Amino acid sequence: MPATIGLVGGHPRVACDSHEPAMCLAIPGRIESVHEDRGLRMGRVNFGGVVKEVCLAYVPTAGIGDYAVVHVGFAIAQIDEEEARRTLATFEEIEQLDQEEPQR
Amino acid sequence: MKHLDAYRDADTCRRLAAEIRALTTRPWSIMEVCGGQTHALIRGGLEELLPESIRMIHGPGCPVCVTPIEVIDQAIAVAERPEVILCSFGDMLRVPGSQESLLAAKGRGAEVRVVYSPLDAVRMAEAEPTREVVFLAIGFETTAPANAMAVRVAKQRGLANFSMLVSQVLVPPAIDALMQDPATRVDAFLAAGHVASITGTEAYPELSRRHGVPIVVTGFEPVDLLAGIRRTVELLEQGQAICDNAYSRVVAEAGNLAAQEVLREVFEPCDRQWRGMGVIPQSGWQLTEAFADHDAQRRFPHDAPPASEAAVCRSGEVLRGLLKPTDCAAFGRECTPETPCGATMVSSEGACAAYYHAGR
Ligand code: SF4
Repeated sequence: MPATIGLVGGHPRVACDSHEPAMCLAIPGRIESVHEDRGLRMGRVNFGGVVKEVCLAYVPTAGIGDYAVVHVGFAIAQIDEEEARRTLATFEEIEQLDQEEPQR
Repeated sequence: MKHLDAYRDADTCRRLAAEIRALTTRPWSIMEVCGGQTHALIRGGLEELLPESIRMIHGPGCPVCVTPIEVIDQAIAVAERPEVILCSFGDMLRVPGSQESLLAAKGRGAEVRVVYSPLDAVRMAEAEPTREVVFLAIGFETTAPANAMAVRVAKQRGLANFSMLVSQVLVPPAIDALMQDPATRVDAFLAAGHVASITGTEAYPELSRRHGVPIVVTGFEPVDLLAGIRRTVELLEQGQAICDNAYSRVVAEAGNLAAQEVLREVFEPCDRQWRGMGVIPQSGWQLTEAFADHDAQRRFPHDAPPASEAAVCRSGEVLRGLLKPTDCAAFGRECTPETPCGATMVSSEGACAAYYHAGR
């Protein structure tokens, strides 16, 4: 069975024609633990149930419970959850505008 | 995390699409540079939600697709050396070189191993001290910090048997080259959010100004993509050629400072050949002098003769957004993911493969 490697568009995303994930993919996950391996900041990150060891050197301030975008075994950015909520709130404003307009 | 699912919510997608329709008064061509976004747009059926007058053009942002044939040929030549274990990301294996792919070379007995992370290759060099472990380090700015860290760790740990064959490419010089090509018909760009999460957004305002195109930094979930397109259409309709960030939960204006520090230490800019696009000045990174001992280019010199694409393959035009994959005569006939004629049919981020898998 091909490995499920993340969610895109709400569907389990399966590597198309090989058993390897497409290298370019970067997916969000939740940091479960943090440790050091000979000076390198590492951690375990949960991607919707699949836990992987990930290098955390590039997200020095991210800790347990934080979300990060992970690419080829490296967390490359911490997700700003406050900002995520703010952005979603602006979409809800659109909804309200929509409701004032007659439906298509 | 509730907001993760919220960025995949179908109702929000429909609302954003409705707003895009309401905003659009004329035809616009928008290029998503990144292959991951191409894949998500096609796979998620998002193009169908857009009004007909919005044309999405698929750009060259697939690292597997733009790695030059010469690099594949060189990787094969290195892999054929008996002392070498060549490590690569999985989706490079089927990419056709001038004669064959890495997978075919592996079939003939070359030691080619797939790794998920560049650090796996470093661990392999530790575990097999009598072998030369060569990692094929391809990618855009998103992958560069991982590759840079691998060689840095190998150097720190004194692993003389670890080296990298580097073919790193950069997005802003590619946007610049595309816009200088008179054949290009692109009104605006979605810039890849994960590239910008590393480098920051600094390079884009100047590109926007110089070429008169809005550039919107955009994420990868369906809601992100539609929000990026909505903002792009808004800027186009207002006639504003500026850069904006529609992926602010991940992309900070300054980018990832910790990554930039390591990148500066490990890589320096260089000219790079792009498959299908030719040489673009200062569009890549190579290892700095300090990492010369870990540079496979120097350790295993190979004069690859210049190679050319299979005659039937029009991936050069596909990569520049000039041709839809389905308009290539070979598409779905002699060229399929099982028997790819060109790199854009190999990687799931390649436009040809994305169309093929979506059943177009
Ligand atoms: S369909 Fe195949 S032959 Fe045609 S451009 Fe794409 S990769 Fe090349």
